[in-house]
Formats: sequence, structure tokens, C-alpha cells
Amino acid sequence: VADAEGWDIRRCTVPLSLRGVDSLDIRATSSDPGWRIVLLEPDDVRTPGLLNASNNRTVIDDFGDGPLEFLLGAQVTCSALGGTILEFALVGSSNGVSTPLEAVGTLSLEPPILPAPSVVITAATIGSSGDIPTGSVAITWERGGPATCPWQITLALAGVDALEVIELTGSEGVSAVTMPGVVVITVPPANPSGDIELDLAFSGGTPTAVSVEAQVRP
Amino acid sequence: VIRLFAMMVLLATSLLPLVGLAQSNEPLPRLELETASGDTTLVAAVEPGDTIRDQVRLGSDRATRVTLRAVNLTSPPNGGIVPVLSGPLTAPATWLQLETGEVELTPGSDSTRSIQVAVPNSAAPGQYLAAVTIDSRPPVVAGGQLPQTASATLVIAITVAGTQNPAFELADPALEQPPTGPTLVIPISNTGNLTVAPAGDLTIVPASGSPITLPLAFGPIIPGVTTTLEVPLNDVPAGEAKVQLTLSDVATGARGETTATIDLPASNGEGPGVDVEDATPSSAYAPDGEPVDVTIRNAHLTAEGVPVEFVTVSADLVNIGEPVGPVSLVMDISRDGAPTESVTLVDFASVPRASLSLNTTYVPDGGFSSGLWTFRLRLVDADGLVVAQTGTFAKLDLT
Repeated sequence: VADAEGWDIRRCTVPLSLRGVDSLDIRATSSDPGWRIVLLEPDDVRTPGLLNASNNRTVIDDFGDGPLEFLLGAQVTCSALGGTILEFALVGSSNGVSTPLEAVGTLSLEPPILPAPSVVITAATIGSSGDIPTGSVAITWERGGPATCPWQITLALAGVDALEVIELTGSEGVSAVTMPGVVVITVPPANPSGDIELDLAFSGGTPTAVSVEAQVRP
Repeated sequence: VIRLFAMMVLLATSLLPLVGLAQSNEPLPRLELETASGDTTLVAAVEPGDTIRDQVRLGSDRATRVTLRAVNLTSPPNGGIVPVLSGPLTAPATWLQLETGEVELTPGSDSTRSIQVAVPNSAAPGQYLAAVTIDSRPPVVAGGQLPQTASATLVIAITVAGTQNPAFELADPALEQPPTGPTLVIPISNTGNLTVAPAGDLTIVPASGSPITLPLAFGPIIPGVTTTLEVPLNDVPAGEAKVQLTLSDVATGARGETTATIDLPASNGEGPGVDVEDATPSSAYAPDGEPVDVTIRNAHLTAEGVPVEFVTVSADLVNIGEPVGPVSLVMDISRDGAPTESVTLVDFASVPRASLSLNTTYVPDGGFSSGLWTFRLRLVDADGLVVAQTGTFAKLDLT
């Protein structure tokens, strides 16, 4: 189940005999940054806000009659670069004595598959103002699917040391920053498609080629 | 200097038509660079000393020759992940082993290369990022045209096992004035060993009026990278304001915050501001009927010593019009709202069409006594007419 905040909630069952165990401490650890993992008791997910207030550990001491269950919430955030593997550690306690259980599980998680956006340079002109090389680049894009994170268009200009964005016109919320030979355009997740035009000034050379590439995150 | 150039370009845009349409008639190839399993990121969790072995697949929808290479990655301002286009390879890009160079691609016939990532025994715990890229060769185009090339990137993300330490630090914000408008620039350093994506709120509390809260979300910042967060303030009313930035990384809980007092120029926004009434646009100065265009930018004051012994004042004088002079740069000083003195920091026989950086020191007679000290800058001509001026660009609170 994926909710509006991107939580993927799974009901997990512990297939162990817990005879003589008073409480069970369960901890899940992600091998990769960018994943937020929480563990909850089965009914807790109905409590508003509890997912965001929880962490990757839960202690269960009311086993009931049926199989032991807990809920796993996984949220992939904007710093995730790919999938992750969760490792579960279980510690049982009886009469105040804790013992790690031999049973340790793993679970592989993958981020949503994101269709590659279409990003095209529709016009690129070069000119000059006195001795200063200038240029204008128009880009149109169409995001392939819904997004929760800002995504990035990288415009690389070969043959240029430094450049500055003089003016950016087009879709609302789109911003551009520069690095040597590169303009990085950030597109808010709410924009499914759009176009922008950049007026640029160069120093340290005149561009010899231009390329554009998109990078999407979950 | 490049900002001066930028303003010149802005003014000249309507006068100098751009030349040379960059489009080639030949369609760009659509390039693919993936792992053997079809991912555009190779993610692996390893122990120090491990070696990862995989295949990369290169594809194109039309016959083309591409250059395959390993590159460093960094984070640009406002976060993100971009290749570094120049300079020597550094770790972890130096851990990559693959046959680089030119590759001929034909449609329907993928090319594969073996790739190894040899993680050193000495590798510290944490996340490491590098990339492999392919670029097509620029087509031959007519003179004056800017050819397009195609590229594709495969990110290599390695997490070395051990203690995870997500952390970042925010330094003091500064107000800058690029051609696109006033911008709050906040240096940020990823001081931990995991990538973070900071998000949070920028709260702006003007001297008068209601606080403004801007929700912000930035892209990933790679461990070890120092960059900047740049927040446009075009819609924020002019005048003095306190800003507070509080950010956190959702995945790890790492947090950072910083505060500052800024003074937005009188031309900003439409709301009230302490300097709106007496700020004089530089274009109003036209002694010979020809307006000049000189601005004072990046004014900054630093207190030296504890208790304060003197202050260091720096500013840029940017002239994008004709030379003007003689003129003097004067600093007006007030204490607890009452003017104390105006001192000439520097005299110019002429300010050329250029950007000049100034740096000087100031200490009042008798030193800095207790009180709230405020500082403004004016550029005045020989008749005392204001050529350009700032609002209150710094406060020194010694109460």
C-alpha cells in the first residue's frame, strides 16, 4: 500500500515459536541511505502521524493467539539512488534476560520505476555582445510519470570555463544554477511538462557543443 | 567581472541580434548506458577490500561513435548530482576499472563492457559516488552554429559498511545581487558520510510586517561536498529582515540551521522597508543629461576583536555605463538611530566601466562604545550628489 506521502506499508509475520518469550524487540536496518524505515504494531498505522513519528524499531509484548505480526513502513526519499536491502534483528526477552534470536531476515526493496522524461533542446543560438560570447538555449520537457522529488536537467556546454544565467523565462518554479561548463536546472515535481529559455553569458571561451541530460529520482 | 559582463549582455540584447541557429538537420542519437540488469544506477553495499564486477551496456538508436569515460561527481548549488567535466579523477572514480575510449555503436546491436569497482582496504565507512558517461561526437555544422551532442550517465553508488554518520552544516547566509535578482546564498557542507537531501523552511521576519515562510526542498548533496543553497528573494519586501533557515534530511534526521540579518535593496518587492524612503536609484543621477549606471554591491562588514576593536568593510563598485568621476565612497554611521559621523572610505578620480572590489577598515574616535551601530554606503560626486547608495547594510549590536 502506498499512501500520499509515499509510505509503502507491509504486514510482516514472524514464523517463530515464541514459547517462553515475554517480549520481542525487532529492528530493521537499511543498507543504503535515502530509505526511511519504520516498524509499528499492527494497529498503529491507523493513528494519524504515527508513521512519521516512528523509527526502525518496535517491541512487541502482547503476542495474542495468532501468529506474531508487525507492520513495516518504507519511504524512499529524495536522496535515494536505488534499492536497498533491509536486515532484521530480533531479540527475545524472558524474565528480564535478552537473547538475540538466530532467525534473522532480509527484505529487498526497490524504488518506484520512473519512466525517463523527455528533454529536448528546441533551439540553441550563440551570439556576442562586444567581446563577450552569449547564447540562448530553449528546452522543452515532459516528465514520464508522477514525481515526489524535484528532478534535474543538466545542460553541458563544451569549451566554456564559466557561464552565467542572465535570464530564465518559462515554467513557474523552475530554477537554474551554474557550475563550470554546466547549467543545472531544477524542475519541481508538480510540473509534468514545460519549457524554458535561458539567456547565457560565457567567459573563458565560446561553446563548441551543447548537450542535455535528465536525471530523475523517486 | 562576469557579472559586469552579464549586465552588459543584458543591455545589449536588444541591440545585437543573436546569430547562428544551432540545430543540425541530423537527428541526435538516443543513447543508453545501463547496468546488465537495466538500471541507470549501479548500487552496491560492500566491505572494505571488496571488488564489484558487473557489465555496462551501451546502446544507441542510430549509428554513432561515442566516447566512454569515468568521471567524478559533485553536487551543484541547490543540490543534485552532476559530472565534473574537468580535472583529474579522484576517489572513488579512481576505483573504477573499465576500458574507456571511443566505441562504435549501431542500432539493435548493444555493446557491453566489463566494469570493476575495487574498493580499497582503507576505505572508510560511508557512501561514495562516481559515474561512467558516454558522449556522442559533435556533428559538423555550418560556421556560427552550435552543434548538439547526446550523452548518457551511469551513476555508481557504493556504500562501504560501517558506522553511518549523516550530517551537514550550514554557514552564515549572505545576500547577493545576481542579474536574476536578490538571492540568499547559504553555504552548506555535507560533513557526514551519507548523501543528504535537505528540506525545511526559510522564515523571513521583516522589521515591519508579517513573517514570511518559504518551504524549501533541495537535491542530494554528496558526502564531502561543499556547495551553496540559493534562494531567490524577488517577492520579499525591501528592507531589513531577519532570516532563519532550518533544514533536515528526512531519511536520516540530520539537521542544520542558521540565521542572519539581511537588508534587501529598495527596488525589491513592494512592501515597506527601512530604506525605501531615502534610497536613490542610481539611474536618477544624470549630471550631463546622460544617466550613469553605478551600483554598490555585496557590501559587507566584519567586526574584529572581542570586544570589537575595529570593523572591516568590503563592497563591490560596479559601473556598467560610462566612466564617472571624481567621486567618493562615503560610509554613514549611526549609533542607536542617531547619525554619528560620515567618513570617506576612498576617493576616485574616475570610476571606469568595470567592477572594483574595495576593502578597508573603520574605527570611530574613542572606539566602539555600547549601542546599536548601523552602517550605510554612499557614492557621491564632487558636488555631493548621490551617484549610488545602499540601505543599512550592516548592524553591530553592542548593547
